[in-house]
Amino acid sequence: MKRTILFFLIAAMVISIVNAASTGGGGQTPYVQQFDERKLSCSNESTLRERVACRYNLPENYKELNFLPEECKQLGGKARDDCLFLYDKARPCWAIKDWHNQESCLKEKVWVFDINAEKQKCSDTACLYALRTKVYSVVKLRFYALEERAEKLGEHGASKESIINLVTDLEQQKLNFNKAKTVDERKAIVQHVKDLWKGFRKKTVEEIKAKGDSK
Amino acid sequence: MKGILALVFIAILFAGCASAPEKETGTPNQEVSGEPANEPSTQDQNLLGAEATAQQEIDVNNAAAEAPSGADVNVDTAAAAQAEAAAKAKAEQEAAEMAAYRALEKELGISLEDGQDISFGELELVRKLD
Repeated sequence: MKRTILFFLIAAMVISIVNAASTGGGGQTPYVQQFDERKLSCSNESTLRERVACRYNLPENYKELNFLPEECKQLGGKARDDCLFLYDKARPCWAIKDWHNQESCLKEKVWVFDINAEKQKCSDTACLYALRTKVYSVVKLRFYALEERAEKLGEHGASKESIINLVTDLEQQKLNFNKAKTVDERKAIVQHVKDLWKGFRKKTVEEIKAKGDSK
Repeated sequence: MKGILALVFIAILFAGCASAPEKETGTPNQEVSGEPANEPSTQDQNLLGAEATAQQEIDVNNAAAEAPSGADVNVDTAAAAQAEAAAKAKAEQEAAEMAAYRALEKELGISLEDGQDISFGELELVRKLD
């Protein structure tokens, strides 16, 4: 009888030690990823440009995310899930042609409306940080809106080369935006994105015209 | 210190007086050639002419240094006109580009605006959280 009790005690101790070790000793359960990444393509290519080129060849899908966005690729745990779900949620917005309606759609998906009013309502730092994260998300989705628009221009004569170059640059700017430490650095990135688009637009209009002239 | 400066000043003044040419009543040439004392000799006239020419050159150079010459004014005006023409040409080119973009936007049904300006204001609103 004594031996049986001792055996159960030792077994209970071993189980509790193993359990504590698997949860990092903090007593918390490990984060289980919710987003199913098996349906995402273009994540194994070695360079950013190659991954972007792979994405370009995927069929257009406004219903669900079908590739691994670069900024999500850099993240882990819940942050990665949040990033993937945001891109997935925003998919239907890219089907909207009108810029203003697309902007409203994006803000609705990120759940950000009147930033100033929301800021006034915040009573603690956590609320303010959450608002800031949402603002950053909207800013980056605007970069992504240019990528989508560039791809649409591809249907009208913009070269694949120009589009892949622009998308690669914009993806890099999103990564730079995440690494930036100050608002001024982030604003400089937004300005750079504007310049990238200006250059792309100029080149693309010439390409589209040339294609139209050659017909 | 003031004493030293005064001494230096006096020394300079003295040196200036000592080196000043004496008032001449005549030149050796006048005596040899027998030309009237109040009339300068040919050589003197040449020398005076050369001095006058040199002085004129100095005056011209000083005037050139002090005030812009007609050529400078012309260059400035030309540069300003050139800059104005370049700015006008650039503005016209940009206007033509924008017109081409608008026409293409209408044709394709795709906006060619970057749509990023709103981000600047939004980032400013969260500036204090940095």
